[in-house]
Amino acid sequence: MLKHRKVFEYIMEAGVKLEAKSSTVAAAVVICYKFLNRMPPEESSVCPYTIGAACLYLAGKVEEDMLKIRDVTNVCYRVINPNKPPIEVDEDYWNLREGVGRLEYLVLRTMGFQLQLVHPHKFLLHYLVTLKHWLSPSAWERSPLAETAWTLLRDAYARPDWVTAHSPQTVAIICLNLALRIHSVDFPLAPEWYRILHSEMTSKKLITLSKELLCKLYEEQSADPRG
Amino acid sequence: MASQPQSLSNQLETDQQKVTQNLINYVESFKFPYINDINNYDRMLKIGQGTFGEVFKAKCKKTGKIVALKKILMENEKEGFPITALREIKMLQRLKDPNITELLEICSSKATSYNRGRSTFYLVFTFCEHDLAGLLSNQTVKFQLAEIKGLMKQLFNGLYKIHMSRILHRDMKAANVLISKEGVLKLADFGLARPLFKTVPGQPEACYTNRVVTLWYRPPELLLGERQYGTAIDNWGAGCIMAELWTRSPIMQGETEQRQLTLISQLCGSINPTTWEEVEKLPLYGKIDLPQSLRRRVVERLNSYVKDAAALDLIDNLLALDPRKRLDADKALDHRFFWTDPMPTDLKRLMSTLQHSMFEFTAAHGPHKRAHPQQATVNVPAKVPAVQGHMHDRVF
Ligand SMILES: Nc1ncnc2c1ncn2[C@@H]1O[C@H](COP(=O)(O)OP(=O)(O)OP(=O)(O)O)[C@@H](O)[C@H]1O
Ligand SMILES: [Mg+2]
Repeated sequence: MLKHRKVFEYIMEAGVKLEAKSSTVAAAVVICYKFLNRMPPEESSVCPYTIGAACLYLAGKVEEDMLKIRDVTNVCYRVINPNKPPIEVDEDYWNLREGVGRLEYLVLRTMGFQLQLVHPHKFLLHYLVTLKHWLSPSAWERSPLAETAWTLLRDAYARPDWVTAHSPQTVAIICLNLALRIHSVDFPLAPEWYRILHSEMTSKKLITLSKELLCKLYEEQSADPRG
Repeated sequence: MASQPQSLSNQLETDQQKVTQNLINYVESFKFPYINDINNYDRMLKIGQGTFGEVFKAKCKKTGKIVALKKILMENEKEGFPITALREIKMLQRLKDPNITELLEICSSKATSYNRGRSTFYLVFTFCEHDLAGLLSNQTVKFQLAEIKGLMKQLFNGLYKIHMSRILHRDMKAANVLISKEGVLKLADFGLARPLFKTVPGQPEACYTNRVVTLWYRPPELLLGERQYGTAIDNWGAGCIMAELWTRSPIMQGETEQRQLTLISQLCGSINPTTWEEVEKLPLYGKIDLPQSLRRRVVERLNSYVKDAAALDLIDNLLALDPRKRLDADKALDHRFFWTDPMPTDLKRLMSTLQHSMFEFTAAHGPHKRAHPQQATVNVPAKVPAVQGHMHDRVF
C-alpha cells in the first residue's frame, strides 16, 4: 500500500465535490505527493489532510481554476468528517481556514516554487480525437470509450507514484489502452495504433504498464488493514 | 521542532486544533532546504516602486553577481500566496529566452516582528542596467537607425516567444523594457501576464478583465470594453514603444479612457464599422464618444520624427485599429524595416557611451518620478493621474 494513498483519494474526492477541473485535481495530488516525499520524517507531525487541502487550493491557482479558500476548507472538512454536521463558522473554522492558507506557503517553499506540471489530460484528449476519426461513427457510439478512459485517468491519481514515474504521453496511452481492452475495441488496420500516437510506445511496454496500473489501482486497495 | 499545526484530521482532539499561533510558529520555524534566504544578498539601492512591489538592486554575497530583487506584496493574506505573484513566477519559468528578463530564484526573509511574523518573498532577477523609459528621457542618449532596428528586432523576438508560449504580456510600455549593459533587450514585468485561453468551439469563450495595460499604451479594443482579446493587444503597445524611440516620449498621453480614445482617433482615424469591421459589437461602442470624420494620419504626423519610410510603414501596421489587421510579432520580424539598409545592429556602441546606469540616474528624478499614467491594474479603481506637462513635451 502506498503511503498516504488515503490522502490522495481524499484530495480526489474533495476536488470532484468542489467541481474543480480534472487537471486541478491532478496537480493537487502530484504537488501533495512531491511535498510529502520531500518532507523530512521529523517534520511529519503536520497533518497530511490539511496539507492536502492546501495543495488543492494551490492547484486551483496554478491551473487557473481558482477555488475559494472557504469552499476548500468546508468541503475538505466534510470529506474527512462525513458523519459530523457541517463545520460551524467559529474560531476553529477560522483557524482551520487560516491553516490552509499558511500551509500553502509551506508547500510552495518546499517545492522551491517549481510547479511546472505537464498533465496527461491534454494528450488523452488529443488521442481520443484521433481515434474517433479511425472508428466508424457507429463503432464510436457503441461503447463509452472516452468516458472509460477519462475515469481511468482520474483514478490513476490514487497512485501519483506511478503517474509521475512515466511521461504524460505514456500515462494517457495506458489509460486509453485499458479502455480499449475493457470495451474490446480493436484496430485491425492499425495494430500498432499506440506507436502511431506516441512513437516511443512499444507493445511490451504497453502490456507491462497496463497490467501494472491495474494492479496498483485496484488490487492493492484492500491490502492496508487500516482501510 | 514546533508543535502540532492546525489539523483537519478527525483523529486529533479539537483543543489541539485551536491555536493558530502554533501553526504560524511551525510554518515559520520549518527548515526550508529548497529556497534560499534573502540574506544571501546585500541590498544596494531601491530602483523602482511598482504597483505590485518594490524593486531593489542588490549584490550576491557569495558570487558578487548584481541582481534585482522584486518584493512580493502580500495584498490579501487571507487568500494565501498572491495569485498575481504566482502567475508571474509561472510565466517567467516558462519563458526562458535571451530577450526576456531572467528569473534566477525566489528567496524569502525570516519572519520577524517587523513583518508580523510572516516572511517576505522576493523574485531575484539578473540585473539590467537600463530601462527604455530611462534611456529615452535622457536627451544625450542618441539612437542610430540601425540601433533602433536592433532594439525593435529584439523586442519582437521576445514578444514572439511570449505569444508562441500562449501568454499575453498585458503591460507593454517603455518602463517594462529593460536593457542590459551588454545591450541585450529584455521584456520585463509579467505581473499582469496571463495564459492565452484556448477557445473551444461550442463553449462560451473565457473572458479576461479589460482593465489592463497602462492607459497610454492601451489598445482601442480594450478601451471599448473587449474581454476576449488576444495577442494583438501587446502589438499595439509595441507600436507605441517603437514610435517612442523617435518621439522620446509616449505618443498618446490621455488622462482618461475617453481622452485616450479621442487621441487614438486623432492619430489613427475615426473608429466606426467602416474603418473597423464589427467594432459595433464591442460592449462600449455607442456608450462612449468617438469623434467622427477624422482621417488616419499616423504616417503624416510621425514623419517629422521618423525619417525612414519602412519604419513608418511598420508603425502604421502595428497601430491598426482593428486587432485582426494589426501586425503580429512574427510578421513584424519579416517586415522590410529589418531587411533593408542600414541592417539592424547591436547596441555595443551605444552602451559604451553610457557612463552610468540610466536607471540609477533616473530613479530619483527622471521618468520614474514623473506623474505616471493610469497604471494597468486588475482590481485597483481608476485613478486620474496628475499630469505634469513640464517634464515632457507633448508630442500630439
Ligand atoms: N531585472 C531588473 N533589473 C533592473 N531593474 C529592474 C529589473 N526588474 C525591474 N526593474 C525596475 O523596477 C521597475 C518595476 O519592476 P516591474 O515592472 O517588474 O514591477 P511592477 O511592480 O509590475 O511595476 P509597474 O507596476 O510600475 O509596472 C521596472 O520598471 C524597472 O525600472
Ligand atoms: Mg513595470
